Amino acid sequence: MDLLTNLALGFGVAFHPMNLVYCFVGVLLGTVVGVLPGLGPLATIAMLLPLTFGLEPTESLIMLAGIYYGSQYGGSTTAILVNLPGESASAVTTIDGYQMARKGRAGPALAAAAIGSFFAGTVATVLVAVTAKPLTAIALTFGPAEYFSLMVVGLISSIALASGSLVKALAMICLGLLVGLTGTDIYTGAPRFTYGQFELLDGIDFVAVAVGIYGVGEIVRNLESRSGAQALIAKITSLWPSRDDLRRMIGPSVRGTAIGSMLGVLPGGGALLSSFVAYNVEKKTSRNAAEFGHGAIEGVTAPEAANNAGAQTSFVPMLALGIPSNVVMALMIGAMIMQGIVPGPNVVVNNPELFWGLIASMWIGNAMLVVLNLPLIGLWVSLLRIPYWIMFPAIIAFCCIGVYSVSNSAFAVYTVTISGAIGYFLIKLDCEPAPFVLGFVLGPMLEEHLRRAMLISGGDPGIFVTRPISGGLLLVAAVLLVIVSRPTVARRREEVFVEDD
Amino acid sequence: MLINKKDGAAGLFFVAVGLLYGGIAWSTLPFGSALRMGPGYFPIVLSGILVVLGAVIFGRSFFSGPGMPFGIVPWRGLLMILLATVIFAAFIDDLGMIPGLFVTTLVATLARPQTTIGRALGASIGITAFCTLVFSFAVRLPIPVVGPVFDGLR
Repeated sequence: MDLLTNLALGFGVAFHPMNLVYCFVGVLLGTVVGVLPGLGPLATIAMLLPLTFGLEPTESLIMLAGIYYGSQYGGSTTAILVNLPGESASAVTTIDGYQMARKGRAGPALAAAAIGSFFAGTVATVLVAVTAKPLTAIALTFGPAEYFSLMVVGLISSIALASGSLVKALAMICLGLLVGLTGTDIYTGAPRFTYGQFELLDGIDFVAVAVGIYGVGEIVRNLESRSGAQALIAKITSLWPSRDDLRRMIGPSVRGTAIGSMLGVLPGGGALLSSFVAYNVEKKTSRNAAEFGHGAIEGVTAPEAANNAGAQTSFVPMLALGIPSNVVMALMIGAMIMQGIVPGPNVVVNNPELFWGLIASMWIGNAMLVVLNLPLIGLWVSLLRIPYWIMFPAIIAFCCIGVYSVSNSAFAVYTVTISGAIGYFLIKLDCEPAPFVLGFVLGPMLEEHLRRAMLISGGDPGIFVTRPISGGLLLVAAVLLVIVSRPTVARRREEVFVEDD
Repeated sequence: MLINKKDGAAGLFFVAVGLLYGGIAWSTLPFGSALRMGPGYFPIVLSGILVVLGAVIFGRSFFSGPGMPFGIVPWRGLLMILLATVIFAAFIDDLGMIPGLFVTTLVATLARPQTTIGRALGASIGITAFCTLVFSFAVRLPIPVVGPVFDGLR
């Protein structure tokens, strides 16, 4: 049993005392981030990257991963208790979660979210362990044409995540690809789009761009609303769900986990899309459909299971192929490169302890999260009482320190300023940033594989269609594009994202 | 007569960026051929697509209806937040962690008009102390606690 030996290796690594500590720190921070509205996992991971410099690669990845899936747990707390999504993937949880809280059932709602998440986390961990290895075997046969087509699929499916107009999302992808090309051309050494700035020869710092758009931009958006009133926090009486509740949680947990696991693996998928789809599926199939929107426990369990499963399985393409399926994974790739590890199919061969240790730590982290989120719920509730006038200057300070230390240059902080300003106005113009950021990361890789593929084929673009895997992937991309552009789907996308704001 | 201002502005923005990047790539970077792509090939193709998409968005703005309002821009908040990051970038090396962060956070607190001076000072002092403890003493980032500007005072 190859898998068992590997998992044994993984748990051996993950149960190492220092790794347990960093796993705990990661999920703890993740919960904090998830609970606090206006601070997402992306900005946090970017801010905290300097904290991981002194760590071993395994320790740092375990911690960063913990922040990501931990934030999925924490986000539900705020969603249920104050009707605010602590982070975007919990947006749908507010619908039924807050209604349950208003009816005095905040405790069972929180329990449903945590138990659903734990179930999903356990299944997703096994899934990652089972699928990652065969996928890397496939990935090792990939040539430049396949990589190019795979990235096209990723970019196109990121549109499904963006709300609003399809053409704008496509334009944002192109913009991201273009800006991502900034720096020295790897083949000829020619500087591109550097505007004579010496610092831009190495390209624009991705961490700085991410912090600018998701940290600074988000704060300015929050400053738009003038309401300084403290949110009303629902009271928690008893945490225990009734036997009837437990029975009603089984189906949604399983369906949510299945949906989340599948959508998480898709490039462009991940936690956010998973939770929306799971909620809508549950609403359509449930016997208690009438209760949805008025405090149905299914409406809490399914999206929470889905977003946690999605957060975890989105590690699969990153670990197996070296391609980020979403923006957080793009940052994880940056963190790996900083640690001297090249993400891709060779990680599992060259760094098995990191690969399996990370997977095993996810399950341990999920177990820790249940303990953190249920008995310690009072602690997180008090965190919600921190007023925003303290929160946002602190976020600015963390962002500046984080970005400055990652690159050790003031230039990166100016990058935050500029991308924050541009990002804010683009969001105001209904241009979603996620496709831009994904394009930004994939730009150089996409060009490199395009050039290599064309060299191999002797300048014949037919290579992308005639190679079966590449052609199949491009077909998937084309079908996706047709699906998301159909008017009915477009309207449904709008409906789904209405709650997002 | 623009009908959808958001679409119009976004379209113009994409066209402008596409023309700018396409222009730079066209004039300074070799295009190459499909077989041996030069550094200008991919950027020029992308810029072309961006210009077309921008034009489509701009064109549609005449037909897509008024749409949602642009909403207010919190100019003071935006400027103060951006100014705070600029101050940090410009002065952190010279001022060091404690003074540099204090000024940065103080400017940031001013982004919210309702925050009183007392609260602003309190928040800035608290955040500076917290960050100095965490980043200078616990994580030991190589930013000086007090910068070289203050060397004369010792």
